[in-house]
Amino acid sequence: MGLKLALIMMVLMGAMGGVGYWYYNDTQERMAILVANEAKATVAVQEAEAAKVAMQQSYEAMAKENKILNEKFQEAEDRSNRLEKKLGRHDIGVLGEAKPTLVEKVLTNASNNALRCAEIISGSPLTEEEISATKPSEINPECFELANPNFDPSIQSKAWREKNL
Amino acid sequence: MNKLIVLSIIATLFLAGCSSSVKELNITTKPIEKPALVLPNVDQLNLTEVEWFVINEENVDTIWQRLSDDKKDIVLFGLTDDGYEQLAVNLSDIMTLIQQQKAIIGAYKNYYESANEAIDEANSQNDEVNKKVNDINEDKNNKKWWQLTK
Repeated sequence: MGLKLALIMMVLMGAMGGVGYWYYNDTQERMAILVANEAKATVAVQEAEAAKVAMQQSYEAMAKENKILNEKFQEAEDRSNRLEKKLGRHDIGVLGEAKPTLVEKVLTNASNNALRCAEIISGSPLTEEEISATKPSEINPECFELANPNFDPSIQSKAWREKNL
Repeated sequence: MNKLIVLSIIATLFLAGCSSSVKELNITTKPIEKPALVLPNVDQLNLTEVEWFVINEENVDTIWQRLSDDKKDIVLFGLTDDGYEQLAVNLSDIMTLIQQQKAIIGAYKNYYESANEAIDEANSQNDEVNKKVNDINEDKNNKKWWQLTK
C-alpha cells in the first residue's frame, strides 16, 4: 500500500514537474513573441507616422507650388492685359495716317521686343544688357518682368506706372 | 482507480499540448524605387526680326521706291490697324499659354522632386527603426532561456 502510494506520488510529482516545465517554456516563448510583436507594432506606428509626415510635406509642397503657379499665371496675364491696354490707348490707324514713319518704327520695335519675349519664354538666356537694365528706357517694355530682373516697376514714376502697369 | 488517475493526468498533459500558441506578427514594407524620368529640354527659340511698313495715301510711292531700292519684291502683305491689333493680341495669348504651360511643368517638377525627398526621408527613418528592432530581436534570440525574462 505504501509503495503504491509512493508510486502514485512520484507519478503525480513528475506530472506536476512536467506541467510546470512545459508551462514555463510556453510562457517564455509567448513572452518572446509578444515582445517581438510589440517591437513590430512600434515599427508599424513609426512607419505610419513617417508616411503621415511625408504626406503632410507633400501637401505643403503642393500648396507652395500652387501659389507660385498662380503668381506666374498672373504675371502672364498681366503682360497680355498690358498689351491690350496699350493697344486700346492708341488708335494706330489714325497715328499711322499722320506719322507713318514713326508708327513703323514703333510697330517694328514692339514686334521685335515681343519676339524676344518669346525667345526668353522658350529658355533663351538673358543678355548682359537685359540683366543690367534698371531704367524704363533700357527695358523690354513687352515683358520686363521676364527680360529685366533688376528693373523694379514699383519705384518708377507715377506717370510710367499708370501708362505701363 | 489508480490507473484511471494516472491516465487522466497523462491525458491532461497531452491535451494541454494542443493549446494554441501566439502567432508571430509579420509586417514587411518595401519601398518601390521608380526610375527617374529623364527628358530632353525643348528647343530654344531663335527668332528673326520682322519689319513693318505703314502705308497711307501719301507715302505709298515712297514705300514702293524703298522696296525697289532694297531690291525686294514689289509686293506687300497688308493688315488693317484692327488686323494688326488682333494679330498682336493673338500672339500675346499664345505666349501667355506657353508661359502658363511652362509654369505648370515647372510646378510638377518641383512638386515631385520635393515629394521624392520627403519619401526618401521617411524611408530612411523606417530603415533606422527597422534596424533598431532587428537588433533588439537578434539580441533576444541570442539570449539563453534563463535570460529571457531579463
